Amino acid sequence: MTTLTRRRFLTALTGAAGLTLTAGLPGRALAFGEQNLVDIAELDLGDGTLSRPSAWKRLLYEMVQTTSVDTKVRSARVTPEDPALFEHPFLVLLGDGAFAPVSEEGIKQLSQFLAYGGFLFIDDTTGREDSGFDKSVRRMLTRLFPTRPLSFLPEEHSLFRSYFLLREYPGRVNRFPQPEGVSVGNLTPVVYSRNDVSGALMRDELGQPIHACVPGGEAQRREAVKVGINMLMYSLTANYKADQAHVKALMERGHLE
Amino acid sequence: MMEWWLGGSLAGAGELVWLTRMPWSAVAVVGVLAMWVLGLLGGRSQKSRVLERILWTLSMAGLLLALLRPTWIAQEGRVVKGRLAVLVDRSLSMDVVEKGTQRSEAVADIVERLKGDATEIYQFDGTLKPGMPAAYDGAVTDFHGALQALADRKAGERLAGVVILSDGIDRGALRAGWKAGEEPEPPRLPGPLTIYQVGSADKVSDLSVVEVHAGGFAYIHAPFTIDAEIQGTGFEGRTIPVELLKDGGLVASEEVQLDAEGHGQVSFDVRVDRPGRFSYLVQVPTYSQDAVPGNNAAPVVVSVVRDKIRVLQVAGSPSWDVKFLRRFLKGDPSVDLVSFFILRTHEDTRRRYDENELSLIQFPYEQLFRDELATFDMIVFQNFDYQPYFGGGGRALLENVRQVVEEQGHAFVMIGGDRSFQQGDYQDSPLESILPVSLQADAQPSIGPFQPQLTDAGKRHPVTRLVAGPEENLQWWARLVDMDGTHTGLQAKPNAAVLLSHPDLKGSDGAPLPVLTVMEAGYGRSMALSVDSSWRWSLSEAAQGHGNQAYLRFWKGAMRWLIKDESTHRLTVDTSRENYSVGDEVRVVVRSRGEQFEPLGNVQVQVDVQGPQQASTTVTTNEAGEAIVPLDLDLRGSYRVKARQLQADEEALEVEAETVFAITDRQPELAEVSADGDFLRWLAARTGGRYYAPDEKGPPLRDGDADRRVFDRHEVPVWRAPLLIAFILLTGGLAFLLRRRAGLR
Repeated sequence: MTTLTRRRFLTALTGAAGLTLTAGLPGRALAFGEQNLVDIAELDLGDGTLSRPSAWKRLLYEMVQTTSVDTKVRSARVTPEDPALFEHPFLVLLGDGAFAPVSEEGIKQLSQFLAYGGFLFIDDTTGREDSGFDKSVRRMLTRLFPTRPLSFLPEEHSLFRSYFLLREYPGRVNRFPQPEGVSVGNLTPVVYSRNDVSGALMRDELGQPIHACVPGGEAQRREAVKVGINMLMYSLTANYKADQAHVKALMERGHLE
Repeated sequence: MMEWWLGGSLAGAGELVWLTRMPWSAVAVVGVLAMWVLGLLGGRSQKSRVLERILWTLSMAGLLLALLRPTWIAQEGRVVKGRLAVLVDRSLSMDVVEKGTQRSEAVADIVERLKGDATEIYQFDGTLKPGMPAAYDGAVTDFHGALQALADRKAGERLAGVVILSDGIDRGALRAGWKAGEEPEPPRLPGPLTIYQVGSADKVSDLSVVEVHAGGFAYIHAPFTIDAEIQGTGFEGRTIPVELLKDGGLVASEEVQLDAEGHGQVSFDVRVDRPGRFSYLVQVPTYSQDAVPGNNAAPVVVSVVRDKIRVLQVAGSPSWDVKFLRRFLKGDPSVDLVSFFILRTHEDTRRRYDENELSLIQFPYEQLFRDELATFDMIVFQNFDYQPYFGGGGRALLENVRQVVEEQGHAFVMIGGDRSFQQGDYQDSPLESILPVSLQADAQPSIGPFQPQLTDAGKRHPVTRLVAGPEENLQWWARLVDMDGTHTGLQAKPNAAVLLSHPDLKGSDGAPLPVLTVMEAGYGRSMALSVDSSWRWSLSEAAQGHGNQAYLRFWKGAMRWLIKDESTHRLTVDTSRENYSVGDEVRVVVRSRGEQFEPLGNVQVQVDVQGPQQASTTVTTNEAGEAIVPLDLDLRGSYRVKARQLQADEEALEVEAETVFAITDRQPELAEVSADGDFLRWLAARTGGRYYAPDEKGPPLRDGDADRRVFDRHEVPVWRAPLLIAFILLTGGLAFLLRRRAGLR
């Protein structure tokens, strides 16, 4: 397990690249408490679900490079019944096939997790209209939120401006223009993408992309990274960007109508 | 002597009246006949028989006369003059001093001139009573009410005249209607009206605060206006200083230029930074010629309430701790939250993104920390380092924070993180004076997990009171998950209270390292939480099936304590009104409530009244949790009532409460003091009466037809006159003796 603080990132980066990016920047002490650093944990539902730690390491790396968020690269994988679930407020579920129904205990714990501040990002890596994973996801969400349907997120949703102003929402593919989500009040604890965002983020040991992004190539991958950052930032700030000050400033800049 | 024998005097004109009708006379006739027959019985001389019959006849005739109850009635007539009702105004304005003399002194002279056998004296203010006023202290003057009361009292009687002695400052319907240009109808009087004006408009000099308005209540931190109306008779055209005092201290002063009629208005802009009742007093100077010093000040009590609790949350970086605090604050409907998170620093530019791709906005730090800071009840620095953002003006902006906390009663919270406390370079900054902990500059954070320990103060303090029961509260804290790392090198200030401490580490003073510390910082309050993992009290608690109550209760309690939320107080003290006049009974109501806000009876409460008069008492609450303390106060000024619960449960909190009210000797009657001759003249004319100016000494109007002839009735009951009784007995007795001498029975 490695703690990746901002300062360590910068030191490693500048050392490797021979640059002096940190010159003149304010010094910062070591962040205290690993538990408080932002990480990503995968939800393990057995067959049909996947694990792509390199995608999340990349996302956390991009997060540190781009935002003020301090992260910890930690490869965690939890089951719905595992109390450790509550140590990781940002949870991802990705897969390419149908998965077995979650146990009652798992549903109960997932419900608690989402009700008390946890966030679940679901990524269908097939990129297909008709996938077993999609059916399983919908079945699971119906059990988690019997009265709250999965629905497309509107254009004004904070997710699309939590850090970047997103006009499209691609992953490895760009087939589904809008993500879906389950909203409770003005918060959306579950976001569901079917464009294989994690596929666009995955890297090999040499740091090279594993999958090609279609049809947009590297430009599309760049947008997929922005989607990932927005997702993580939304989980941290929720509807912060819907606050009046932000809306007003963005409207003045012509980014919002 | 003769009058005695006759039962009274029968002299003069009169008539004899027989009071008895039948059947007594018939009975008497039968009696006479019976005696006559009795005289026929028995053998004796004719002479004796005749004599006995005569005697019996005379005796029975006398008896018959007595039974007919003859009465001599004589009547003597005489003329009585019509009565004069004199109504004396006994209101406060009659004691106004004009050129060194009280108006009421003129009353005695006029009444003396009017006095006679047929003079009835009444006094009036809001009511009418017989007799001269013992004191001129009536709170109002009501001409219509007084005249109507006289008319009712004298219904069917004709008076020779009705006289009013007054300065004409009627506060009833008559003058109000007349001033409004109407022709109000006075009550129908039993006699012609004469008015003697007492007091003169041109002799009086008086400066007064006529009215003060503040709108009743105001919102905390929001400016409101106190308007005062000034009247200066004899001060026309002059500039007068007007002062606004709060709780006895000078708040502001203004000058007002009185117009040609001596009228002026002044406004004070006021802002209050904490909720509660506040007593203000608007006052003008008391000059030597002032007729009524008592009307130179007018109080107004304003209730200041919260609209919403405005919270400013500034975070140096998004984090789970930031997320959960925002989630709590945003979810509280009583909170108006303004969040600002630093999403990108100067360091975060290693990925090249066009600015148009970003939804970032400038940190409006000057707007927040210079222009709008005073609008926030609570300011939260959450893992926020100010230096990279505040630039060269950083100290000035932090000084603003210190000012609103220490001087205006706002709240400040600093939450830990690698950008906070010493790591944010707050040592020796203006904020250090309001932080409850002092900072050791070179101390590095501790990164180890630990379970915070509830201190003795923490066991009692509302911030760390998660549940009501002390034991249960301890259990709650014991089960909470570990915190992950903390700032070190902290030392609680002498007037601070450490509520949570580190189980192993020591502060720079050798005491257990403070983790959660609170302090009264000037008028405000502050809190230092040296960890950045309180969010785990929410999510990790949920993992154990406890929900997020510990987190919510902790922050709710912290927020309420920080902003001094009175709604959570279990002991309250209140009065039904804010402003009282001298003589009014002030009823102080004390209410005691339990942990669950249920009424708490049999609680002893010490009530202390502080102000121009002091009072102190101990009361016990009833079953409804209430106790009433009546106060009899007669000195003008602001009063503060402090209530303190005695024999409080050791664990009980908030056992003190206070409120304010005001008492003034400024009576509405004294709002204007210039005698109103015009009104008196109109009233006299309206009733066909007569008006006399202050220096005129004419007689009152009299109705000659009101004089009346009365008869004195004299009755002499002749039927019981000793002479008649003696006659009956004598004649009857002689007749009886005559029969006995003849041997008869």
